[in-house]
Amino acid sequence: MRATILTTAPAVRFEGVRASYGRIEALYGVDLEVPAGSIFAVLGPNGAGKSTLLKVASGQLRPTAGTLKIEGLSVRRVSPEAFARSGVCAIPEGRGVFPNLSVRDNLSMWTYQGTGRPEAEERAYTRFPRLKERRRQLAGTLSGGEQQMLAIARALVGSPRLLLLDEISMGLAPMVVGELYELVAHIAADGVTVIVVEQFVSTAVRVADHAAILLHGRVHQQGSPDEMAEAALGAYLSSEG
Amino acid sequence: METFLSFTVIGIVAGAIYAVTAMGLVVTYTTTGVFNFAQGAVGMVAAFSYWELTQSYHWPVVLALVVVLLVEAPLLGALVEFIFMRRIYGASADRSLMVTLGVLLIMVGVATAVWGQQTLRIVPPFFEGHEVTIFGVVVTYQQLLIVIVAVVIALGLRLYFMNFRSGVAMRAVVDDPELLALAGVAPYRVSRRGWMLGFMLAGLAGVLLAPTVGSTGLNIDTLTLLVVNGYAAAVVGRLRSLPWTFVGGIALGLADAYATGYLPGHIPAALVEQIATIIPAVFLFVALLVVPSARLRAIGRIPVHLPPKVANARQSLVGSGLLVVAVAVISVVAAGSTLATISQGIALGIVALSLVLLTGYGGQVSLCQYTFLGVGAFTMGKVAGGGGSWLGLLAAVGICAALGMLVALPALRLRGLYLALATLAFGEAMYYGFFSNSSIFPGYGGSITVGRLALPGTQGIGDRTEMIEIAVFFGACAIGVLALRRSAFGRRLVAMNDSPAAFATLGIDATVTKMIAFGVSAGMAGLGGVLYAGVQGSISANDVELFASLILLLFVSIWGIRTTAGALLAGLTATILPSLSTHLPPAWAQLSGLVAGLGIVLLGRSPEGVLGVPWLRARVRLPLGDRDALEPSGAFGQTSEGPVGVLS
Repeated sequence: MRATILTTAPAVRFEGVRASYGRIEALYGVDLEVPAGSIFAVLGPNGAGKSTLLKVASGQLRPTAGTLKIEGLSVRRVSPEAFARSGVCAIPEGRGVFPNLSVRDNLSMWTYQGTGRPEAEERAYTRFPRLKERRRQLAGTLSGGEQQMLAIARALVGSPRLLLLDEISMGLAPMVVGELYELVAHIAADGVTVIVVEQFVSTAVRVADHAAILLHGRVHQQGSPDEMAEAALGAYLSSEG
Repeated sequence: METFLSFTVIGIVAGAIYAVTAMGLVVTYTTTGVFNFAQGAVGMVAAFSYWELTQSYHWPVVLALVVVLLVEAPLLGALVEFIFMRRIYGASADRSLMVTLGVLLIMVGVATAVWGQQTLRIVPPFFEGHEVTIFGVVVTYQQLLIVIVAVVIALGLRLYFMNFRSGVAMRAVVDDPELLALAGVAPYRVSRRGWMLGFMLAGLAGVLLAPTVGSTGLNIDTLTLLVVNGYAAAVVGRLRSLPWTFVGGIALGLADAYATGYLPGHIPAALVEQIATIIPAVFLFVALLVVPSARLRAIGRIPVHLPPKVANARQSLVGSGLLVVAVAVISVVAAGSTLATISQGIALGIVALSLVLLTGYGGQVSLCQYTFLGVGAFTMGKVAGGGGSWLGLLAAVGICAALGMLVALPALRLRGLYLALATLAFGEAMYYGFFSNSSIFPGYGGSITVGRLALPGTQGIGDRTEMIEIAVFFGACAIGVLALRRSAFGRRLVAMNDSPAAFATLGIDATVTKMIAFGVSAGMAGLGGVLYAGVQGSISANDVELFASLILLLFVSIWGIRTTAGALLAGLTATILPSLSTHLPPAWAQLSGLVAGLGIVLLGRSPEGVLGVPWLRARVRLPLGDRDALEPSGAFGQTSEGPVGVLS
């Protein structure tokens, strides 16, 4: 049944979405279509509204105008926990884990879609053996890379239909980033739609099917990942070479 | 040996009750980030309800227990979460602390209205008449029951928090409520469960305590404060470890039992009782200092908002002048008890000013300002036979300032909540050990004569002149506080409050800043005390009740804890309400506590109090130059609104 939905409608569709924090507007009418089963990279500089876009897509922030459609259905007045339970897996930037819980407890928190605890640990440890070694350790004491593995393990433990990743490469060694994106590609191959937000272009673009550049709360440009990588250089990375 | 064993039994039983209430505190704290000062009051309400059901309505014990512990307590918890706590989500730690103090006062006020009449209420023991002998010591079934219940609760809670997903979620919610929502659990439900569970444990402690209080019967204040002792146990558990909290409870119970049991025989019984009441406070104080304080966790962000504009020198001079003129006019019009009420209100305003400095600017919450008030008045009364001299005033201010620094000294490494607890412990110890001590304050509820401060070159002073004199002192203190705030010291104080971490990087010694703030504040409270006691001519333990400090703190917060006008209004409120309540039926005895409690919870998270409400700010220009030139802007809108859906 899921497959039919996936083939008939785009997984996520933003139609003129505006969003704000109090009086500060962050999105000024975003129109974007994320095809089902694809990896969609959202690029843009600091403050462009990338994270806000993910907050809207995960139900954490309600649009002040416009519509959000997930799998063809218009979503409004839905709590973030309901989003999560129906298969939207959002991993926020830099803090995708509970720092004062052990690795095992974190994994047990990821079982909200009904996966059993032993099963959850099995899936996570198979992919990331390092987490098994550290299963009793508090997540906050893990290295940055390990914390990100634990955060992404959420996508392995549950059965997400939409995976939202906010700057997972932040502060990590290139090797680790490569490893994480390999996993993302692997997850997407199972039919999961993925939206990745990145400030820096290289890694995300390599695995993405589509990309868009967000500037000042609007979609500046969209197209193939390579085109966008090129465009990003002109749009906001020029000064950094 | 047998005596030792029987003291041990007594200690363990008392400790088990402390442990139950403390575990409730820890559960609420770990799941909501709020330290529930009302925990004791919940136990008190449960104990009275249990008495009502079993003794008035003659319900069977089991049914009454079910109703009190499984219906009333969780319902109260859910209500408190829904009505009070959810409104202050994201507010600062002091604010949530004050709201729980407010809940405490509301419960005490309501309980006074319902059960305030002087009826002797005795709850019969559980399994009356049944006992066993263990190692030659007679242990009643009730004592066994208490210990078994505490152990079962401790094990059960641990099992739940470690092995059930909903238990893990309760630990996760403080870490990151937004992430919890992303993991499919509604954070507010988890918090609500935390409140319900905490209240159930508080209620259980209250019901277990009820039959052990003996022939004096249930008493609202004692029950509320007895459970306060559980705080010490929670501190041993660093507010997060249930096993250590349990250990802390038992240790406290044993310390209490041994200390009172093994006091030398020649010490009079009254003194033994006093020592017994001080021990928990001392235990709490020591625990705060010895146990490495856990990183305090608070849900939410650091609130950013515009503080009221600080008046400049000219404005504060003009404001104080206007105040003195206004008071002079009132002093002609008012008469009798009204005159005394207003005079004392302005004197309390000076105590409230000390809180503006310490808590409003410095962010250090003190729950013992009335202790300094009392010490100040006492010193005045003792110097030069009944006081009244300027030397007495100097001595009072000096001794209070020194005492304040002394309290600050151990408290220097404590912050926020821990500091508040330390001051509470200090206040409690001073209340029971000093002010209630019949060899210092002679007789039952004894008082000490405190003379009025005569103007230089005169003998004695009339009621009206005294009122103006107090107003002049208030004006001078207000000018001083505002000048301090404008000085480099004031900026340091505010910076320390804003970001201790950033402050530490500036190369300024936080220790000195804190100590000066404490010293000045305590001295000022002592001055207020001298003037306050001068109006009525005496000081006694009744004037420095523990709740009084809390009530004044809440009134200052309600009016505006960063304004001098707020301090004045708070002082006046704190004397006018009790004088009003004397004209009301006895059920309203706790009127000011009720108003303080309701006020603070109604104010929610408006951080600047009534005077800071934008509508009022725009329309009312208060003397003392506290008016605000700036409208609160939306620049920091996230802090007041928060991302939608997180806890809405």
